[in-house]
Amino acid sequence: MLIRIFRHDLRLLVADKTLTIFAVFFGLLMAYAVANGAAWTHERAERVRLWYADGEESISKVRQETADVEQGKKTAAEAPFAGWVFHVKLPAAKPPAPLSPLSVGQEDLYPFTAMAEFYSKKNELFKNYETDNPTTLLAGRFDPAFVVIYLFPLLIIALTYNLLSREREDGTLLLTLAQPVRLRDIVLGKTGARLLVALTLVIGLTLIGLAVSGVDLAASEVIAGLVLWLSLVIAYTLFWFALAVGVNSRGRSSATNAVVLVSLWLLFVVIVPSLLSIAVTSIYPVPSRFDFIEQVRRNDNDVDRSSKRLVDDYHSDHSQGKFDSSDAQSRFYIIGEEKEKRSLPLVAAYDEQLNRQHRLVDRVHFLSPAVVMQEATNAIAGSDRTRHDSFRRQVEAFLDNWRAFSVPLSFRRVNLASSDYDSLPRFSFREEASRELAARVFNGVVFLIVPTLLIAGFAFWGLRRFPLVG
Amino acid sequence: MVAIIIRKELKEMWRDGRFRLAAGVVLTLLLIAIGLGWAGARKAIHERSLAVNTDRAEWLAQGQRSPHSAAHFGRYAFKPITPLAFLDKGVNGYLGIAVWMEAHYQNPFRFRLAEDATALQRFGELTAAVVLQLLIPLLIVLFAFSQFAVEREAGTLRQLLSLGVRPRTLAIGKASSVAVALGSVLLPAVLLGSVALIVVSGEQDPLHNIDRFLLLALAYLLYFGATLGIALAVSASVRSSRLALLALLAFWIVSCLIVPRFAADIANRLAPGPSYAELKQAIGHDLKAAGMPDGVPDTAKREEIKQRLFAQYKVSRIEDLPINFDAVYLQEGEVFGNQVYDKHYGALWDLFERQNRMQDLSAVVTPLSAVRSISMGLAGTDFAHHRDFAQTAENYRRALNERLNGEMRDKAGQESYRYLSDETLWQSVPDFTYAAPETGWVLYVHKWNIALLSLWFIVGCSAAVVAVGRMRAV
Repeated sequence: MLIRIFRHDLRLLVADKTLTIFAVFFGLLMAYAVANGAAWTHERAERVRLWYADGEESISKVRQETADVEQGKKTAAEAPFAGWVFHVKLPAAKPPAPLSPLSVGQEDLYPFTAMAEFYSKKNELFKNYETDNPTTLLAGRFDPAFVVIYLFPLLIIALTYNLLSREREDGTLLLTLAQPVRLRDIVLGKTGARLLVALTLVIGLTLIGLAVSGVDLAASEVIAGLVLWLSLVIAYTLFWFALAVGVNSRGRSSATNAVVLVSLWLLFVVIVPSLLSIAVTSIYPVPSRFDFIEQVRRNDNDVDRSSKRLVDDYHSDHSQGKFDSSDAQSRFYIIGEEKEKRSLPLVAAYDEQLNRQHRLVDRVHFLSPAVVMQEATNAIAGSDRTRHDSFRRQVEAFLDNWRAFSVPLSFRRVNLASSDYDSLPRFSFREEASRELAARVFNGVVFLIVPTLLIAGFAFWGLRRFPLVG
Repeated sequence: MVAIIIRKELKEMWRDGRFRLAAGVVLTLLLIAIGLGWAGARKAIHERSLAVNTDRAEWLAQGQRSPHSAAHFGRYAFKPITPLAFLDKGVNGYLGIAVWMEAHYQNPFRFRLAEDATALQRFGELTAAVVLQLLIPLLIVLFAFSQFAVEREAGTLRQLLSLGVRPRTLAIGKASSVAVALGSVLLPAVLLGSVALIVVSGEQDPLHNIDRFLLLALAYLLYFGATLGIALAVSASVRSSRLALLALLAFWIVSCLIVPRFAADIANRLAPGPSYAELKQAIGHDLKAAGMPDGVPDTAKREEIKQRLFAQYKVSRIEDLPINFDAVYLQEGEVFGNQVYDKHYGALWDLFERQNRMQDLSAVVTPLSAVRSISMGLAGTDFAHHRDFAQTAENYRRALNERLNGEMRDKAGQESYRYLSDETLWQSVPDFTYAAPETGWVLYVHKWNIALLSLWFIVGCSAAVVAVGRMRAV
C-alpha cells in the first residue's frame, strides 16, 4: 500500500506544473552554485600555484647569481644578495581542499599565502589579504552550501506545506481513508515521494557538477568527503521534512502551514544564528584590535629605543648591500625576535578568545540546523577556521625550522653556496587526517538526526488526532 | 470613510494573534539590534580614541632617532566610527580598521573584524538595517497579503463594494491601516534610535548628523511604501489569498536571498580584479623599471640624482652640497612611488566602484538593492566613505614623509642618517585629522539608487491604485 501511495504521489508531483517550475528553477540555481564553487576553487588553486612558482623563480634567480659570483662571472657588488641567508624567501600557501567547491565558507577572508624569511615575525606572517571588493565579501558567495542551507529548505517547504492539508481541503483525504489504509502510511508514502524528488535534485546535481568541474571523484579522500557530505545533506533534508510533517499534523489550512513553515525557516536560518552570534560574542568578546595595534607599537618602540643606532643603520642601508657586516644583520634579527616575543602573547590572547567562541558555538549550534550544516560543510570543504589554524601552525613550524637552519649560519657569518639553494626546505601543507574530519562531521549529523527524530515522533503522535474534516 | 476603514482593519489585526506575535517579535529584534549596535559603537569609539591617543604618545616618545627612522615607525590612522554606523554596519566589517602610514609603502588596511569571528557572523549580523531591510517587508507582506484576497474569499468584498465605497478609498484605507500597524512597531525603534544617536554622538553636535538620520528614515519609508504598494497590488489582483502569499514570499526570497549574491557574483565576473599577488607584482615591476625598487632609488638612479644636484648647485663633491643628498633621493623615491601607488590602487578602487555600480543595477529587480546602498551610504559605512578616508590618510602619509625628508635634507648635512631629531620635530608634526564627507556628497554618490528607490515607490503606489481599481468583487 505504501508503495502504491508513493508511486501515485510521484506521478502527481511530476504532473504539477508549479512544482516543476520550482524544481527547474532550483536545479538551475544549484547548477550555477556548483559551477561557481568550482570556478572559485580553480582560481584559488591557480593563485597558490603562482605563489609557489614566483617564489621558486626568485630563489633560482638568486641561485644563479650566487653561481655567477662563485664562477667569477659577476662581482659581489653586482649581485648584492648572492649567498645571503637573510635574503632567502620561502613561499608557503594553503591549497584548496579537494571538495572546496562545496563551500567557500571563511576562505575568502583568510590570508592563504605567506613568505617565510629570516626576518619574518610570526605575528606578521599572515597579512596577505586578497584584493576582494568588500561589498562582494559582505554579500557572500553563491556556492552549493548557500543553496543547500538557505534555498533547499524553501524547496522542501514548497513541496510539503500542503502535504496533508491539500488533500483535506480537496476532500480526497476522507475518500482515501475510507480504504483500508492508515493515515500514517499516507503521510509516509507522500513524504517518501517528495524526499526522492528533493534528494535526487540536490545530490544528483552536485555530483554531476563536481564531476564536470574536474573533481576527481575516484580519489579516496574525495569519496570519504562525499560520503560525509551525503549523510549531512540527507540528515538536513530529513529535518526539514520532519518539521513539515509536524506542522501538517496540526491540521491547519495550507496557507497557515506555509506561513508557519516559512516562519520556522526564518527562525532557524536567519534569526537563531544572529542571536547565537550575539550571545557568543557577548560571552567571549574578542579583545580590541585598536588596543592590539597600539600595544604592538608600544612594544616595538620600546625595543627600538633600546637599540636605536642599529635600527637607524638598517633603515639607512635599504638593502643596497652597503652592510658588509652580517653581524649587524644578526643583531637586527635579535631585535626582531624580541619584538615577536612581546607580540605573541597578544596574538595568543586573540586566538584563545576565538577558540572559546568556537567551542561555545560547538556546544550550542544544535539550536539551528542551518548552523550545524554550515559548520560541517565548511569542515568537509576545508574552508573552516580549524584548517586555517592548522595552516598557520604549520607555517610557524616551518619558520622555526628555517630559523634553526639560517640563524646559526648568520651568526657564524656563513654564506650559502649555489648548491645550497637546491636543498632549502620547502613548505607543503598537510591535510587533516580523514578520521578527525569524520569525527567532526559525524558530530554535526548527530545534532541533525536527534531533533529530526524528536520532531518526527511528535508529528506522528499528532497524526492520531488529525482532524479529517474542517 | 478612510478613518472608519483604518479603525476596522486595526481592530481585526489586533484581534488576530498572529499579527501581534509577528509584530512583537520584529519589534523585539529591532530594539535588541539598536541596543546592541549602540553599545558596540560606544565601546568601539572609546577604544579607538584610546588608540589614537596612544599613537600620538608613542610617536612623541620615540626619543632621538633619525627622521627617516621615524618615518619608518610612522603613524597609524584609525577608521572613524560614524555616528549612524550603529544602525548599519555596511561593509566596515570586511575592511580593515586601521592603516599603517609608513615610509615608501602605501599599506593596505589591517585587521578586518569579520576575520575575528566565527562562521556564525556570515549568517548576517543582527543590525537595525538587517531588521528593517529583511524582516519589516515580511511583516508588511503578512499584514497586507490578506487585505483584499481574504475579503474576496469571505464574500465581504462584494458587500463592501456594493455599499458604494470607492476602490481608491478602500486602497488608501487599507494601506493606511497597515502603515499605522507598522508605525506601532517602528515608532519605538525610531525613538530609541534617536536617543542612541544623541548619546553616540558624544561631544559632537547630535544635530550634525540629524540630516543623515532623517534622510535614512525617509529612504526606509520609501522602501516600506514600495513594498506595501506591491503587496496590496498582488493581494487585489490575485485570485486566492494563498497564491498572493506565495507570490509575495517568492518575491521576498528572490529579493533578499538570491539577488544580492547573484548580483555580486555577476559584477565580479564582468569586472574581475587582480589578485593580491598580481597587484604586488605590478607595483613592484613599475617601481623596479624606473630604478626605484621598493620605492627607493637604486645605485644607478642615485648616481643620476647626484649628477643633477651637482649641476644644480655647481659643485663636484657630495660634501660640498648645502643640503643632504640622501634625503633628496629618498624624497624622489617617495614621489615616484606615490605615482605608482596612485595608478594601481586608483585602478583597483575604481574597479570596486564599477563593480558596486553594477551590483546597484539590481535595484531594477528589487527595491532592496537601492535601499541597502543608500542606507550604507548615509550611515557612512559604504566603500565610498572608506575610499575617502583611505585617500585622506594616504595624503597625510605623503605630507608626513615630505616633512621628515625635508627636515633631513635641510638639517642633516653630512651626518645624513646619523643626524638625530628629537621631540621638537615629533611635536611639530600635526596629527592626522579626518572630517566625514558632507551629506550632499553621499546623496550625489548614490543618486541612481535614490532615483530607483523613488521610482519603486511610485510604481508600488500606482500598482496598488490600479490593481484596486480593477479589482473584481468575486
